[in-house]
Amino acid sequence: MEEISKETQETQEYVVFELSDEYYCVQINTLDKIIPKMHIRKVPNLPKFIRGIIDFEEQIVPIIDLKERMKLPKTQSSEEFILLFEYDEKLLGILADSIFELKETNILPKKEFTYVSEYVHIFSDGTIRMEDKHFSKSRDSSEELVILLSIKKIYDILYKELTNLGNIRTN
Amino acid sequence: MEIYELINLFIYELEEELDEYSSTTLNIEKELNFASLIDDLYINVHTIKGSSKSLLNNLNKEDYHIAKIHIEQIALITHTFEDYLETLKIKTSLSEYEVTLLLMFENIVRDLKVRIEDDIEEPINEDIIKDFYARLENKEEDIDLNSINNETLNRHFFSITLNSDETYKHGYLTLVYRDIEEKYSDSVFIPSKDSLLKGEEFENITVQINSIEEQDIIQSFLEELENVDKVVNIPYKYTVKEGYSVQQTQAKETIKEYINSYLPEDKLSKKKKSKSQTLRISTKRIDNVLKHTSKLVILNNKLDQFLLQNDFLAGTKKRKELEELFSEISSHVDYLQESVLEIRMTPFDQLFSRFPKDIRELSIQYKKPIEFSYSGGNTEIDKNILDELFDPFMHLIRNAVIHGIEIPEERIAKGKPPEGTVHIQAKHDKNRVIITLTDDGRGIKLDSLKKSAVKKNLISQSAANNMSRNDLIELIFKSGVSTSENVTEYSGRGIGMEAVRKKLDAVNGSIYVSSKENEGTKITLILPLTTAIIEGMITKINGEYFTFPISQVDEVINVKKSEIRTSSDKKYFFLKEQEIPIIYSEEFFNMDSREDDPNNPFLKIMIVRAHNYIVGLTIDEFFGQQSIVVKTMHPFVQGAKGISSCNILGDGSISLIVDSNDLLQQLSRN
Repeated sequence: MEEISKETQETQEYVVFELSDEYYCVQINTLDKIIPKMHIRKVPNLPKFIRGIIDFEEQIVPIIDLKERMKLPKTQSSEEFILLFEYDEKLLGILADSIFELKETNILPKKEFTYVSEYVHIFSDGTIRMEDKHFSKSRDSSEELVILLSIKKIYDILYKELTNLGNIRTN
Repeated sequence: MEIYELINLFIYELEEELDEYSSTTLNIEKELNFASLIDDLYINVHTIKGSSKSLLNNLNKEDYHIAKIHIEQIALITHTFEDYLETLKIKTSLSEYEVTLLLMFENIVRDLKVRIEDDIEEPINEDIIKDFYARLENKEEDIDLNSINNETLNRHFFSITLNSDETYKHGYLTLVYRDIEEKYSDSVFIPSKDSLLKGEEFENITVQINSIEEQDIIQSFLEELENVDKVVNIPYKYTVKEGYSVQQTQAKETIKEYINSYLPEDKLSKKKKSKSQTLRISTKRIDNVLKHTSKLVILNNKLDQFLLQNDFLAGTKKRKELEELFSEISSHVDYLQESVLEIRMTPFDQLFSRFPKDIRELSIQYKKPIEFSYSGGNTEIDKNILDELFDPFMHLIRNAVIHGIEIPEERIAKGKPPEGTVHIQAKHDKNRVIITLTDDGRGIKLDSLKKSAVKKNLISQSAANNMSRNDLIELIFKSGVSTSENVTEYSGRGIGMEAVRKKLDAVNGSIYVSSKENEGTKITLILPLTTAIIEGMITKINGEYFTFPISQVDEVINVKKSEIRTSSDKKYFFLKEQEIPIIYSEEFFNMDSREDDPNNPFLKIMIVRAHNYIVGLTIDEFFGQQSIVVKTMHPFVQGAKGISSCNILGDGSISLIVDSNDLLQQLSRN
């Protein structure tokens, strides 16, 4: 509990981006780079949510399609950006429809999803139950819900899943 | 030179000397060629002393340096140890106690080395050093005792020439060695018995015999041995009881000279030559060269592409000159690339020779006699891969000794020999290296494993009951399994197996475990030869690039569609009367299927080979062969069936490298 009160003093920076008309965000310090979408080379025989690979600064980077993974609706909006994260000393890319804003706030992420007033973004604590959708369809312009994604958790979930599918070479 | 470079140089040298030292102590334990081995150790220790002192001189010019205290310690300890080794020179064999001291020295120096490498300021534990010195001094008294025992022994050297019979030379040699050893148990041979066991053949043997018997008696015994042609006594004026002295060292040198003069000239000069050509280079520098070479290979491919697409100056002399220039550059890039890769190839000996020491320690600690051996140490692999293997191997070996091998009483009760055996074998298999680690311990108890996994809620009871043998063994790679105290039978095996697998993943290797209860465990590691540059065939399938490693490709052929036969879902055709199954790429790679072009009567097929099988894979276009830089794949995309990795083409696009071993799996599934 102590930790939380300490953290409220500090301002955190987030990148808010759109996926299927919903807002998601990540902490800026976990993000490596944002690059415009480039040609993605498909890799056969992998789960659909791995869109393929790109060659970025001499590194082969897998591109994750979260919309596919979270079963978000297909929308008109096109994927324009790739968010690059460095995890375990390797880059990993996540597709984003568009970048909404860079946000500075000292409001802590909440565990429960709650709505509050204008301009205030409420974050989850980074848990993202990937099979579920947590938000209502009708959105009020003054009340925005932004889901905070934790790259570590996404990585762990995907790693586990790919291992179970036998797609991470463990034998 | 900068100080840090001097320190780095010192560390390389130290590493090299310690490795030599390590393998020599191993041979001493086998009691081979004792006297010269102690000399070798002496040289190693002396070299370390010399270089640590010269480094200290340089460091003293600085005010302060973290490494200084450790280097001082090395200089001190080598100085004392050198004297100790002198006292060992007069011995004919070492006691357990003395071997332990040899190993202790190595451990301490290695510890100090790590401290220097990792910039650890904290000095080495004073107690360890004190203990070591105390042990060294203790021994002095024993030495006096030993020399009294040896008083009546005389040391004789003989050079023996054999009847040269081309057909059975090796057999005769073995007999001679055996006969001499039976009569004089502590005789030492040059070439060593080891070389003999390796199947080497030689006509001259030098043998050192310590015996109370007079020279002429021994000589006549040797002369009467079967197949011996000539026996010459090498003059050696000193008896063992005279102890060590400067004179003795000189005497030894004369013997060495004598032996050397006896060796064929070219052999000697060759030996010297290779020694003088050794150069120590930091791996960082080599990696740097490789990085730029890789880049050069890609640029070379790019330029090739560019010249193909642009026909400026076409038909002129200038164009011809340009093309000639390019082909010359290309061939040099090829040479460069080959040489760089060769530099990085390192024999497994470097890794394996580090194990006996640890196994010895484990064996003492757990009171389990272990017979450790390895083969295929000359198998080579990319140094970058080799460097990653020490930890996983140490882990597997610890598992084998601690959890696999039973205590002697238990082994005897099971009808096994009291000593457990651990064997490592390395061998090449096309462009891979296969390593097996076998022990003859109790094996993996699948039932306990199952219970542990259920207990840890990793699997449900019903799932556990339905699991296949392989699936059950797979559980050891799950962290947490087997740590339960209820599974004392093999608690521990499994901890860290997950880490071992991760480490292998990182170098694109793989690990298989098989085990038979009460008979032992066999662990197989499959590793790529190099992770860097290979030759590849570039093709296009359904608009996308695919690369086939040349090591897996036989040829590219056009097959008439009418020649393709079908039997029970399988498509195949005949090539030189051999039935070759066809795999359709679109199907295998799950790509959108296309309409068959009725105007094209042919099907282009890449014939690929994996182990003893041949398969045909359909392709659309074939662009020829080029050197490719194999990219490291992210673990998320490593598991794509049929794809091992990827490379970047001249135009910047990504081409996926096909793994033909996966094609075979597909085939057997059909």
